[in-house]
Amino acid sequence: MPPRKRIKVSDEQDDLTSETNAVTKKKAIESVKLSAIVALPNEIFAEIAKHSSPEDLLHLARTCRQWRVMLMSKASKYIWEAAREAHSVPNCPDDLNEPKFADLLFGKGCMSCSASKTFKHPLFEFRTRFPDSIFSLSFFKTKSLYQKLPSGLFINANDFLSLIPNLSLKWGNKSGNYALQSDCDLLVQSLQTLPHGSEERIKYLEERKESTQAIKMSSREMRMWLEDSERQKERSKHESMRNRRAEITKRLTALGYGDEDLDSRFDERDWKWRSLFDNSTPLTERSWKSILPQLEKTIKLRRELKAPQFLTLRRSRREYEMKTRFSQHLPQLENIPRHKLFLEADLLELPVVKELTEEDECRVALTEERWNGVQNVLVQAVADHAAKIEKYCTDAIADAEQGAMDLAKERWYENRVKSWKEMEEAIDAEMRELGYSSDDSGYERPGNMHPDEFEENPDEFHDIDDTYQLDYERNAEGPDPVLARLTFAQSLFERNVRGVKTIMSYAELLRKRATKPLLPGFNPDFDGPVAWCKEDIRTSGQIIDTAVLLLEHLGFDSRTKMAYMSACRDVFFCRRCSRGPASDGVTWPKLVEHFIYENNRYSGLCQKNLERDADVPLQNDHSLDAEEYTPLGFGVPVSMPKNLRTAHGGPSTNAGQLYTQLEATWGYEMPQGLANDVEMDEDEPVGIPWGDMGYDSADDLLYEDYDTLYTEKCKLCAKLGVSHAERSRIRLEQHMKRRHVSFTRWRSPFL
Amino acid sequence: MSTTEDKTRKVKLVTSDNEEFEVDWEVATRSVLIKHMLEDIGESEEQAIPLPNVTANVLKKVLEWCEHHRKDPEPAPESSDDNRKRTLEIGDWDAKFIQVDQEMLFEIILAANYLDIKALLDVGCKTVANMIKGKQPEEIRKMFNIVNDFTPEEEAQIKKENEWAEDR
Repeated sequence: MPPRKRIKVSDEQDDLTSETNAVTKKKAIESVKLSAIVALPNEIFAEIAKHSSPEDLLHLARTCRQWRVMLMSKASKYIWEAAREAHSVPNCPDDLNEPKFADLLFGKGCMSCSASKTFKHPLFEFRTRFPDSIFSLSFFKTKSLYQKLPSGLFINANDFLSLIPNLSLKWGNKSGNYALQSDCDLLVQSLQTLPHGSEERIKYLEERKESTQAIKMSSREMRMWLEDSERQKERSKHESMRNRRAEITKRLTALGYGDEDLDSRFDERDWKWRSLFDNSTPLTERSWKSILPQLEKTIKLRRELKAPQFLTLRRSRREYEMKTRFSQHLPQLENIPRHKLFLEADLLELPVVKELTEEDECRVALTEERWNGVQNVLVQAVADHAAKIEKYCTDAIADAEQGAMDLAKERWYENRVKSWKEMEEAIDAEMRELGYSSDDSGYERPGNMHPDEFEENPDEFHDIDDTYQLDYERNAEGPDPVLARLTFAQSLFERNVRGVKTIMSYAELLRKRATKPLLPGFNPDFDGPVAWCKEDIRTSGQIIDTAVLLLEHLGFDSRTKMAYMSACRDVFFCRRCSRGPASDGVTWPKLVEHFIYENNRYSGLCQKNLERDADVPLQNDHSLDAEEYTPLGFGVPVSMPKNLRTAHGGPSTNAGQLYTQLEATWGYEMPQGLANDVEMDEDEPVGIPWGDMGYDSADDLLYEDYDTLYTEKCKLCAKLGVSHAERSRIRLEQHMKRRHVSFTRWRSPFL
Repeated sequence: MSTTEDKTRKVKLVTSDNEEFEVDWEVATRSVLIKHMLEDIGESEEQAIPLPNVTANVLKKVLEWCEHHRKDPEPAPESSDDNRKRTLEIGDWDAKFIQVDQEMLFEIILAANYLDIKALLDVGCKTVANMIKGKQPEEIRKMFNIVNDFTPEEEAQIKKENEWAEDR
């Protein structure tokens, strides 16, 4: 039983109180009624204090004189002991008293100066909290002890160290074993006064060793307790936070607010919500009254401003439910031909699915019954889907065929007009040479028919029709043939994915759609395939025309199959480019893409030339019209290894004529990152100069600085806003000759 | 030891403001003081017990507590490890009961101390300790309207002085 004696508050203290704070106290008494707590008898105050923690006792002792006098009296030791034991604080070490011990464990700031920032934990071995900023002024590294010890102490550094508290510390970039300088000085002084070998000295050393050991042990205990207590505090803080959250949620739900009203994911930064929730203070009626209006204000803002985001969220949930059901249902669709072309994205575009998803602003979850409605139409939708894709592609090719024919005929017409003009000029020259004038009746002008005067289409027109019209061909024989029109080398499509246009074959197009990435998370750019109706896939007369002309230049028949071209892989070379992928060999679609790009770019430069009135000489070195490039002194623009076309050296494939063959390649795709290590990236940009950046290959860009590698800048390109340079003067001259008509003619004033 | 007769017996209590309360013997004897007084005056007497240190409104509140706790077992004698079992937890009913203004709270504590009702005194002291818990000196002063009678210099000094007053 604790002593129930009354602690006397000395009169002296009371006098001091009245003297020092008389005015303040008077004022306080006048304005507010003093609490009865200070009037409680000391034994009752002691009862209250016993229920407090040592930390609270420290605070009480710093609240007013009366309590300080009482709590800092040795007679109150039992209160501190009770508080300590009630809170499972370790026993007070012999070298400390209760208040000091409490201050060491619970106090804040430096214990000897006014610094507020100290090491995270007290330095228990030194019985202090200390600011790390001035740590090195009072402490020293023990490894330098042997230098500090004066001679004649008759003690080695290790023995000396066992007599003073020391601690291994690490903070910032500093670390080491440290001891207090004052401890060291004190021990040196004591040792100097005690004669070597005397009993006094031996006793002193023993006592010192024991006390140092005791400090070490108690420090360890304190440190463990403190860490444990911090963990405990953190746990209870989280627990309180969780309880508060649950309580607020419960109350708001009881008020009729729904899940979305309580969802803070779309909140703006200045909306009050999380700060009111994520708080460890328990929720009281009073605090509830104060936070409720703030919470309701945020809920109102959410309803007013974030409705579209919540709708999108609900939609994605409904869509996820649909996709999950669909994937569960997939095994039942596996017998439908080409079912792999029907993607989750296509499912979401079905009218019945859209209707179910959007019902009541996407608020109705997918039930078994609702899914049955989808299931009823799914088989037919999957079967129709492949046919729909085929029809779209066939129609697109048919339209493009017509466009390509028109282009070819236009080109034929222009060439004929040009020849007619040249012939006219030649006749005029001959006439003038012979001394006739145009009015002379004696001169019989040789015949030169203008293309417009032809009565019927010439044979060349029929040739163009034959070359370009693909629908004359029969489909391959087999159970599931691909329409013949989609199997030719010129049946190419342009697929636009987020602005990146790629030319590919029909087979490749289907493969891309029906193939999933092997590791979906591996490619951060992959955001899932889009529905067929949202794909941007088209073809044009220019694509087919370019392909036909390239086939002609390569010496292929216009009925060459895409399967053959694909089997050739990347053996097609652009003879015009001295660098860039096309000069190293590309696949057939890439070759077509390269020539289209170059021709479009030439047209673009011509346009710029006009707009800027730059008068830069330009010529199209990637022209596929022999009548255009031959006079410029250029040879055939494309090539491929000759042995590929021979019976023994080349591919002779008829694969890809049946859907069953195509389907065999639909599966999983290797992650892009790994694919790069295995083969060249197929999406490398092309251009004149390649990719506008003028680098030869991706490797050049990585390892070489463009400015140091390509020193010879083309000022003509620069005039049209294209930054371009070549490695050497000779290369630049070649570029001039190829792109800007003639180097010699245009040497000055640009170079 | 109480008898069946004791349980039916009524006890009269008179407060400092001369108000008389008649309560069951079982309720009144939650107070050790009253119990001893009843033992002193004997069973036959029908005499009212004067409580000069307790006012009527406070006694009413105290009796409300005693009524609720009339069936509670006798508190065990304090053991040596009493302190170790100390917690700040208060039962739900008691927590609600003690939700009163500060003046009444301290009156109840004083009355419980005077009447020697250990359990009620504990509830009161724990409530005050809970109010103090985790608060800085300035917050404690504000809560209880305590005047800060330290000068700023003294206040800075006492943060560093943690020795027993006698040792300084």
